[in-house]
Amino acid sequence: MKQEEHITFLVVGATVHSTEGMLHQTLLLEEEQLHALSSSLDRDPNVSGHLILKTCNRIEVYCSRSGLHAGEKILQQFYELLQIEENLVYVHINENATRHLMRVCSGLDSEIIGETEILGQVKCAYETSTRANKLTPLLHRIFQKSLQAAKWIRTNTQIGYGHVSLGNIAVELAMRIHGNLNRKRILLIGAGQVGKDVAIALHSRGAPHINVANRTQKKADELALLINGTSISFDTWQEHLDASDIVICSTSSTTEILNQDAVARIIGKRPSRPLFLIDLGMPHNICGTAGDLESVYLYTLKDITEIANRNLEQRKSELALAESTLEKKAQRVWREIEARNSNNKIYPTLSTQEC
Amino acid sequence: MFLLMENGRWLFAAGAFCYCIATFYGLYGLIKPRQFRSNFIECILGAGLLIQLYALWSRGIETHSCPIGNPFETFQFITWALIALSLTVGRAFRKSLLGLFTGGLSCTLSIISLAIPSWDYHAEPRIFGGNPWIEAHASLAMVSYGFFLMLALTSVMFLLQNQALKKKLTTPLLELLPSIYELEQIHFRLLLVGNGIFTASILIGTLFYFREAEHILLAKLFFSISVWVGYLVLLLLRIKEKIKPKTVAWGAIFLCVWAFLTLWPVEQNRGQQHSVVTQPELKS
Repeated sequence: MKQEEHITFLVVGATVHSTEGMLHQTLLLEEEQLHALSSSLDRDPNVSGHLILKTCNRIEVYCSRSGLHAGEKILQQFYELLQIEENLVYVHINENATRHLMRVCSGLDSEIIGETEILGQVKCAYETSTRANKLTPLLHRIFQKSLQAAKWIRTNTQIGYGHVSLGNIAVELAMRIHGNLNRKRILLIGAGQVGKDVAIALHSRGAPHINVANRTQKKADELALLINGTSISFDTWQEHLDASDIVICSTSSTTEILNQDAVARIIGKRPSRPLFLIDLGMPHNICGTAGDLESVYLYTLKDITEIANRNLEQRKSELALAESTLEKKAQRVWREIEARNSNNKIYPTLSTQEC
Repeated sequence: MFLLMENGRWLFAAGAFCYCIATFYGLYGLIKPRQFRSNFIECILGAGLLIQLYALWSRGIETHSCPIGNPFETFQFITWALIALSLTVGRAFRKSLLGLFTGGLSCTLSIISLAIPSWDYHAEPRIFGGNPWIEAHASLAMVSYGFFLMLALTSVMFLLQNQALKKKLTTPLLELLPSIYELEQIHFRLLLVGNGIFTASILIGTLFYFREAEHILLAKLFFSISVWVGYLVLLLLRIKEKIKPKTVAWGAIFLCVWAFLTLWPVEQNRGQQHSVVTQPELKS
């Protein structure tokens, strides 16, 4: 316990990373549990405003305090809710909490550096809390400034450089080859997890015609249902090759299922229509030399992983610049808040005890 | 400076300046893609196009004919056609990347033509003898050259994208380029329309040839026909799908270089065709 003065902004949270994976189960919280925590904070006279941010790998409570022991109470409720040890939870206050929020919004605190989804999730949580009238002027100011800082970081640094997920990289490559995917035909051979991820990503970018072939027909049916595609018999996938613009092979076959002659035959029939081959199989499902043919673009799992790693390295190289910028921005925001607070008494300020 | 001010050349220089700004802004867009506004590049190219159009129109009024009476005017006419075309088809390109390429090329060609004063010699008024058909022949040929220049530019883009995909390269520039499929479609359309316009020009020229064969140099005839046949063969092979898109791209680049080289024999024919044309006089 240490004594702090003018503590008004607090964040209590835990991520899957900070809890070494222990949070995965507890993050499956029911909505009612979150509502209960929110109601409890509403009733707490020491808490003047709050926002709960819950994503697939983090849960955080941001609040402005107006009581002496609010920090302790919030922590207690947090431990009870998550049922994890105290040392796995992080607590930041004032300027540090502001910087933490800016880092979260900018994707610097995410498992995949620079990911953009978190910004939308913070915005959504902010809008929900605003509508529910749970935010104080202080929280409004800090959240707005943090969202602005995140936008600045994404615009002026390369923290969000390229794609780093397999599905998104496959989509990007497909669009560089075929442009709009709306009228493209896709053939997915093998319904394993990796192939499924790529098919879902392609479907989400507008590819409407996806044929799924798998040795276990039931799995093909389930995936086809998920991506609004068509399930075909595994014995007939070769009949669909000619009409396909993108072929994804993701089988566990120990031998190549698509050789160079077959690919040459397909491209020979439609030389002005490029063919994108994605080989996600280990060992390879498609003959490596097929990629040497004109108008044929072959990418293996290794190629896509290398692109992801290159992009991730590029993002990491921007980390220092982004961190130092956020440091300055957080300092400036907090100084402004303190100045306004001391001059105009806009924000509730108390001399409180920190846990 | 005097050279630029003389005979409305400053207007052409202003047009080239606009294309330069568009090019540099396009390059800035590659460095700072998120701060890039594609509308600006289109506006500045549009401004350059209007200035160049006014300058060409003024020349046309002065010479009472289509303003392609000397190599300087020919280059200006082709760059004008190229920019007009880029603003028409540029919508297919993300972030006005086509504007960057066409702006850069137009700027370079304009500067070259401005930098060589001897190209801008004084052409005789009514250089085409007041025959609207032969003016149509010449101007249609120049417009089709604009198409072929555009085709060569998009071919360069195709080869860049193709090579990068084969080598598994990813950079922001490559993401801005149109897709392989889109570029192939654009090639086909440019080849089709460019061929159509050039064929119309050749047909009109043929009618003129039958009437005044003695005024046409055999070299001009040969080179013009060779360009026409080259593009026609390329188009037919593409329609029949006998060649791959990469071959079409290389063919388009080669033919474009060849088409520009043939401008010199055509230019020489001009002296033969109009024996009363005054000797080239420098503006300096």
